[in-house]
Amino acid sequence: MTTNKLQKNDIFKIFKLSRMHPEEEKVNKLIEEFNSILELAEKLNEVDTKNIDATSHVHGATNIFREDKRSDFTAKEKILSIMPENSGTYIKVPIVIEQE
Amino acid sequence: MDYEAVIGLETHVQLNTLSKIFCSAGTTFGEDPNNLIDPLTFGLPGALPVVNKRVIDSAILLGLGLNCQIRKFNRFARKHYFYPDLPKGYQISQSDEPICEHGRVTIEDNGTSRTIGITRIHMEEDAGKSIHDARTNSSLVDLNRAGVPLLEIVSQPDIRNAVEAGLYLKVIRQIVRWLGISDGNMEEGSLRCDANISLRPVGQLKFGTRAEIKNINSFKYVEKAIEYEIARQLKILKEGGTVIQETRLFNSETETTHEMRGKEGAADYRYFADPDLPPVVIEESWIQKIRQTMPVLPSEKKLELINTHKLTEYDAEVLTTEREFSDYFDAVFKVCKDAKLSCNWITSELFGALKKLHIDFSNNPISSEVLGELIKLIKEEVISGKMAKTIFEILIENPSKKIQEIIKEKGLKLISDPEEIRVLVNEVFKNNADNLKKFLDGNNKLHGFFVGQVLKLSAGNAKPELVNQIITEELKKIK
Repeated sequence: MTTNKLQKNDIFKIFKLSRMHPEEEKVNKLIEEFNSILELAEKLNEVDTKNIDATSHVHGATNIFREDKRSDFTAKEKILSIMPENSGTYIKVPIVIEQE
Repeated sequence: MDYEAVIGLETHVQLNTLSKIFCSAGTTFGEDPNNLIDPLTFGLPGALPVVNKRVIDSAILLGLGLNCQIRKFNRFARKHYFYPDLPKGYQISQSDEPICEHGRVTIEDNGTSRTIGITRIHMEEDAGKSIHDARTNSSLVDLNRAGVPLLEIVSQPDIRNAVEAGLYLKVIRQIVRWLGISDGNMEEGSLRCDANISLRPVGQLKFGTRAEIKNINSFKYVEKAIEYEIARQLKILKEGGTVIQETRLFNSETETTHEMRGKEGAADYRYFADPDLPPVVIEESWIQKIRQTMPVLPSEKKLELINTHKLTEYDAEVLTTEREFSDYFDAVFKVCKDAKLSCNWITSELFGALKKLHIDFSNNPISSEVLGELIKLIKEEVISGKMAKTIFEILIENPSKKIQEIIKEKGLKLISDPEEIRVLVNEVFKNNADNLKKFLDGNNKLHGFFVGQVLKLSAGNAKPELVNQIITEELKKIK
């Protein structure tokens, strides 16, 4: 059985995807913690699951629908007010495309 | 070495539902920024998605329209990516279990037709829109579009050139409008398309390295983007270089494509089945129910117009560009029972008048019953074609007027009684004794002059063929 240990560059890739800038010592601690979680998950690999379908839902319900009716949410301003920054009714965020 | 292009299109069709795919926020285009949001849009704690049933109905309908197999057991999947136009951190989509697969559609180009395979159609939610402002180094996010239902149609790489790509896209637009599931408006983004393009030496089966072109939002640009990209790759290959697999953006101002910058490596979307959404099971009975609501498709309708109604290929094409044209034609024909006249009146008189008055067909003031009735009166020789045009012109300005009312007011009544016309003919002969003499002496050109005079005397109401015939008869008598 192979152990898929998390490497430092994996962490950096995830941070990059999430637009986050980690501190070096925190990364080391994260790797340590996360690898112990992975080790725990590895234990599950000991079970033979060859003929068992992957479980995505546990409650067994299917076909839960709503009719196509519009109803406006009444507390829109409240949601917008918890955004870090606004401009009019727009949400203002740091620029997301790299500049040419 | 000669190369051929291999092109596949991914088309996003925005559905015309009243509410979003997983929540009841509205979907109207052009509302104030962030007016169509709710807790689900932001993935706020406790917010759960519930599927809009009409999205499933629409997907099944499109699947049937594009000859697909419909999957029985469907799950939604989370596609993770980090971008502010999707605050909950993932897009709900379908991954390896799309609702429709293995379809096909036929495109026609100058009488030759080709089949383009449809790999899959899947359901997903749209993302929001961002406006980038380099000056303030910020982006403004509007989430009205986030969660609007989309069907993504992925074609097989069966398309070989820019013209075929344009035709394919037009057929897709025609079908989604025909089925009534989308307005297919490219300007408002209801229909968008990405193109995968690669080149390979003619005769080679293996595909070359492809580039994906994003951001194509008009029929013209689809062709321009593909033409440019084929030329770009051809130049690289001819110079002995290699094409890099990458995503490129089309710039509509320069009509060129350029490398998309700031795109994070090969994206890892970490797809998994969305545990918040129970599976959707589509039994055969559901598919049958949708099939019963399906209209005759434009390609079949076109054949019906040509074969049953004996219309020309061109006329049939015009009448099937939109379902409302074709439905209107059927309704007019039902009243007057003359396909050719119905077609002519719709495509020349009606379309012409609407265009002149800047009226959209959806606001056409002339009902199919009225136009059918008008054509019927021509057929029954109650009025002439010319009179019908006069009536039509009055009707389009005053749609509430009755045809019979106009006939009475304008004294429009075709004189088709030969004796009545004979009186008129003899009166014209009497008043034009000189010309009559010349005519009898052999100046045959004057026949037309007499027809004109009789018609004038009848105030345009005499039936021209009859006037012609009676003039000839009367002349024989004099000779």
